[in-house]
Amino acid sequence: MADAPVNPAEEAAAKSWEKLKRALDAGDSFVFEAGAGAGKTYSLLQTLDYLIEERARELMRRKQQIACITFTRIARDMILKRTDSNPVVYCETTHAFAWGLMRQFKRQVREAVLALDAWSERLAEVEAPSTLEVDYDLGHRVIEDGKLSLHHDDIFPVLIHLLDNPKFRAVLTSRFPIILVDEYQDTDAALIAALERYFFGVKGAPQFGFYGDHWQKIYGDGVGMIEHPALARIDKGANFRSVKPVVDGLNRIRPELPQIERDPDLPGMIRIFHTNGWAGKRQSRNHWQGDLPADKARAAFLRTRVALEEAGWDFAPEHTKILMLTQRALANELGYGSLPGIFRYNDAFARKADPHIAWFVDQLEPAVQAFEARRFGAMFEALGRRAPPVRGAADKKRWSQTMTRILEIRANGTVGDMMAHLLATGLPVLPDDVAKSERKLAALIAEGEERSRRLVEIEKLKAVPFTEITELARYHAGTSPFETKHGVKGDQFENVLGVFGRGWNDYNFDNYLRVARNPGAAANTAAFERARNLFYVVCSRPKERLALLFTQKLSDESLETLTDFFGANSLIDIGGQL
Amino acid sequence: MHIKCIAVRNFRLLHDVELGLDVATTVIVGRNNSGKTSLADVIRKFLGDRSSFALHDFSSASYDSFCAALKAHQEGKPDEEVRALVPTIEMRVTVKYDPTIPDFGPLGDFIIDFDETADTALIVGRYALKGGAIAALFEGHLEAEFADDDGSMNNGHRLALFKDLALRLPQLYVLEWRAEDPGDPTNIKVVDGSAVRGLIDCQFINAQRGLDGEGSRESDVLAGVLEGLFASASLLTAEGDQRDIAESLERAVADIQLTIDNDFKEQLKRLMPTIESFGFPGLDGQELQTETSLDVQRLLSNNTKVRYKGYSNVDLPESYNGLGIRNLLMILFQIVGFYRRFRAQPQAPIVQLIFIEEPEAHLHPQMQEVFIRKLGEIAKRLRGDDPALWPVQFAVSTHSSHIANETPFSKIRYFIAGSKNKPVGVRCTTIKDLGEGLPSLTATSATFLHQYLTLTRCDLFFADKAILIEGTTERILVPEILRKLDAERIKAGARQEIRTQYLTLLEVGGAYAYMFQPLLEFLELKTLIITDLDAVRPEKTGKTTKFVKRPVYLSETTSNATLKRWFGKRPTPVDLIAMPDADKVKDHVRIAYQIPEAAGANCGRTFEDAFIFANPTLFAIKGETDNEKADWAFDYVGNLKKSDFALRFATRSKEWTPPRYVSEGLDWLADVPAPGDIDPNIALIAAAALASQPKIADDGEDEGGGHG
Repeated sequence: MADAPVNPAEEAAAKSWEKLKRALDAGDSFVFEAGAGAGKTYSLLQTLDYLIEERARELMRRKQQIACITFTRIARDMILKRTDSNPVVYCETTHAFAWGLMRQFKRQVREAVLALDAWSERLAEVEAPSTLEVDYDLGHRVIEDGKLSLHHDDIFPVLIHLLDNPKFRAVLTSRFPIILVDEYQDTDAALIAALERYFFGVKGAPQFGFYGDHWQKIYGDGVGMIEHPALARIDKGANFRSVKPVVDGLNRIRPELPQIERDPDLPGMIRIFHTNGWAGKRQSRNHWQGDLPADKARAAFLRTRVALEEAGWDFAPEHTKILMLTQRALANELGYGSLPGIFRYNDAFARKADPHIAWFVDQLEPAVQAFEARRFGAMFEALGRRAPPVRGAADKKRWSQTMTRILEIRANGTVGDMMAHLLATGLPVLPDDVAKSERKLAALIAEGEERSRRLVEIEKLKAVPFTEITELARYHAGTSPFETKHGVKGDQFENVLGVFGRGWNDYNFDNYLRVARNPGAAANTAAFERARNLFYVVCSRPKERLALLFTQKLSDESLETLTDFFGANSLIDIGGQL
Repeated sequence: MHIKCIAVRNFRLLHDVELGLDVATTVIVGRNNSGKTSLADVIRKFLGDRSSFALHDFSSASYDSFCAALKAHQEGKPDEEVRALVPTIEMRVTVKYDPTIPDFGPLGDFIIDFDETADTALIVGRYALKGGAIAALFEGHLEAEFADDDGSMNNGHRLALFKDLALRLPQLYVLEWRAEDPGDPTNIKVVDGSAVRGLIDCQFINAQRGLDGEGSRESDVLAGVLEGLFASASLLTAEGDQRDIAESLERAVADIQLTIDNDFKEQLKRLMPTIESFGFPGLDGQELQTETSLDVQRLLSNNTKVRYKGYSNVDLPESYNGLGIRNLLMILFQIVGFYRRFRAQPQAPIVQLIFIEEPEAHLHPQMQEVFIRKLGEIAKRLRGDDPALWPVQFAVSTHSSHIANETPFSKIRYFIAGSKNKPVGVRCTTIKDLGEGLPSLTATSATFLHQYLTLTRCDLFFADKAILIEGTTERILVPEILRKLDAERIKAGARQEIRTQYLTLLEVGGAYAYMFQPLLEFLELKTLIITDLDAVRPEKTGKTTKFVKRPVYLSETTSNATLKRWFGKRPTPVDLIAMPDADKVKDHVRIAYQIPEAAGANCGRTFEDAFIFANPTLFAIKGETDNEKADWAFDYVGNLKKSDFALRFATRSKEWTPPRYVSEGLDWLADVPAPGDIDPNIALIAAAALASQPKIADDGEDEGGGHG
């Protein structure tokens, strides 16, 4: 694989590989930081190939394996394929890896589960909790026939509990002397803390390799940055995806991880549209403050599109991706116009912060689609559980009937119809938080009491036709910049248009841009990093052409920042044309 | 539930085939070396004795894939792509079930779809390269050279590669099983081999049954079968009455054992020298005991014979019976044994598949027909009326035309090996399903054909080539003509006599020959139809018009149904005589009918008058003009006793010239290659590589492998 470097990006990649190889040989744990477009997956596979070549024989003789922990099943399957399922590599998702380690310690796992808050209510009803057999194949919390089935959320707390035990740690170390973690920034923060406590810098601990990019952590409980004196940091200063103008912009956004492009001569384009020149009255409601009114936001978008088309952009979906970081203006066009009116924050549906939305979009929709395509394995995978055994016609019938009905409701019914069906059949099982809200809502309605904001939102959501949820899911599946979890982040597009606006709880891009060149001045570090990461992910997606449109009013400092990032020539004020 | 079909890939001749199985009995026919034995072997290897595979078990057509995989590996292609090229021997078993039954039984483990209407489950066995073993498989061959133009591998390197592959396969390949969603090949579940064997019970009755070995007195084969029956009866899980028999046998032996322990032992003890008598110190006080034990198993295998009741109480040994009877008994005993073993399984498999190889051995034709007819009844008799008690499917491979002809088309699977579109030296089997594959055959034709095949002795399913003839004269004289033709051809330097090929002669007649055409096409059988011109003229008698036989020069058309079908409408004799040879051939079939011996000369309308025109000196033909001569021949043939005519020229006077239409037709037949023909010039590189590998113990299984 060590071909002579032929372009600057490869040269940079080769340098980082040399460093990585030294760390691997020396047995040092490390963080491998690969920015957008750097080819992180390539480096991970390169590492595995190298370890297989150098260490496989010795490891196999000692019945040891290299653990490779991925964030998604898609990534796991890809790595298994590319390493030809070599038996020396144990590749699993974080949850499956954790459960695989834990399952042989039945008693300790049960004890840890009995101590979990999430279980206390359920366990109170069980006569002899200490005789329960703990299993993890349904993905949701059930106690049935003396069997306790764990929820995905239970896995890490139990694992962390077990890590307190030195013997458990010894078992881990002896089985997996090398542990590679893909997309480390998204790994559970509490879990990383436990690893740090017991393993980092500790003699005789496994060798850890963390692959990822903390600037690409988008949300959730991910750890983000991992820093520890015992962890070597290896940067991959290459960008194989984008042309020089884009890479230059990225380097100014992120000066501490400079990247080198593949070919300095390839042309590119950057256009930054803003609307500061618009003299009308902007929105003033709290989290919409400073954004254009909906019709003007739409006009701004159309104006931008025309300008780009004049500049030669082809807006066919296979050439151009539009990443929406503002919602109201375009929700109508995308087919889920009711949703922005229901939820206070875009986050609820655009980021799937609402548990109902999250479950519909992440699990039910993919499951239904898989069912429609008669791909039953994929259906259960989408629902996060193992396929139940088919013992007779009745087993098939149960699933087939409920899913067929779901298909009908999906086409003709409302969210309320869907929820009623799911609650009545119990198939597929609703997640705990969804079921809980539903119970609470039903009780409050029965008693005629006042509902909280969230419950009111759910009530309103029920009147929405389910087709809007399907459209929302379609948007998420294709283009949402939040879809880091499903491998879209690696997707790259010829042209990218990012539309930034307000309506978020967690994001204000003006706040970010204002202090982007001086992070220390940020009032809220967490909010700053969230906005920064999203901004970075959008800017790093295109191969050739990048355009940004801000429908929110930008401060002067922010305009300066953008000028600094992309050059004064790139900035265009379309406010006067609205 | 039953096995609907079995598909095999990359195994010997079975490069990519699918065998549909009948619910009850499937009869497998085909010429020698067409892959019939390979099929039984691959199923045995996957489901039966689980013997391992070797390189020579891979189809020769898959060898190039090994080279292509090496090339891809050499070029640094990702393992994923290389793996896709490395050949895998695969067997896919499709099981059909009733989707409405409440309990799928052991099949439940293999059903992974939730489609209510789906009624098949797919069980896939794969002999595949282990994970991460690509580098190990090709180690040492990374320097192999490939041609730039077509990417073919350097011969020497190829030889070396296959030598190594033969040695490495056993270590690097594993047999794995999976259930596959029939509607979604990406949905798979890895299953245990034992689960598959618990699902499908495969049994084999081999062609070698040890009946006719040397010293036939030694082969008490029936007694051996009895031992097997006892073994299955004594299983803890055997059925009640079976178990009772086994127990009473055990008890009977236990009673004897008791006697042995008392009396026999006492007597035996007296045989033992007394140890004290040796007078060695320290040896006294040690008393030695004897122990003689009996068990039923060994009693059966060593000391039990099957005998026939004979005259005046003299029992006759097993082997004094005819081979045919013993063969039949042997097969029946074994089937009973399989049934008992099936019933004794603690968890009933969903189906028992019994392979019977060439049951016809030593059976006379009628017995063969009875056997195949009765096979279904035997199952019924054993299990009673409830098919669920013993869901059995038979697969019978045979070379007997009696068995084949007795079987309805829907149950016949025809194996044919060919090398069409394959590299030199590579042959692959195609399996043709006569039940589904004859769409052009109407129901009446099918009934006719089947009745014809049942009533006459015909070898269509096994022959290399076929000749369809009109009647007695041709039947007697065509073999004679073939002999003459061969002599001429050999003189002219032909390599092979046509008579060394397996030719079958069918007496069908022009009225029906066309009905065979779809079947002949389907079997890809090179066929010559020798029929008659049957020249006629429409003549009015009163109100009706009749077509009357007339000499050719007086005729206006033909009454031959096959000619009419072949050329369309009603061809005139003039048209027919002028017909170019190319129009007489359709795919595998050529038609031949009378033509003049020389242009413009008289033309016969049947074999006999054509024969007369071909040998004018042998007959005192009367008449001045051609037409007068034709009239004379017409009348002569009209009064002729055909068999006498034929016998005269077959036996007494052998100096004659065959009619031109027959010799031209036979020449065509001699020149077209038979489907199974192997080009003797080919030297298989792979075979050369294999020749140098260590001998493998199970060489006997290699027959039908087709690498020769």
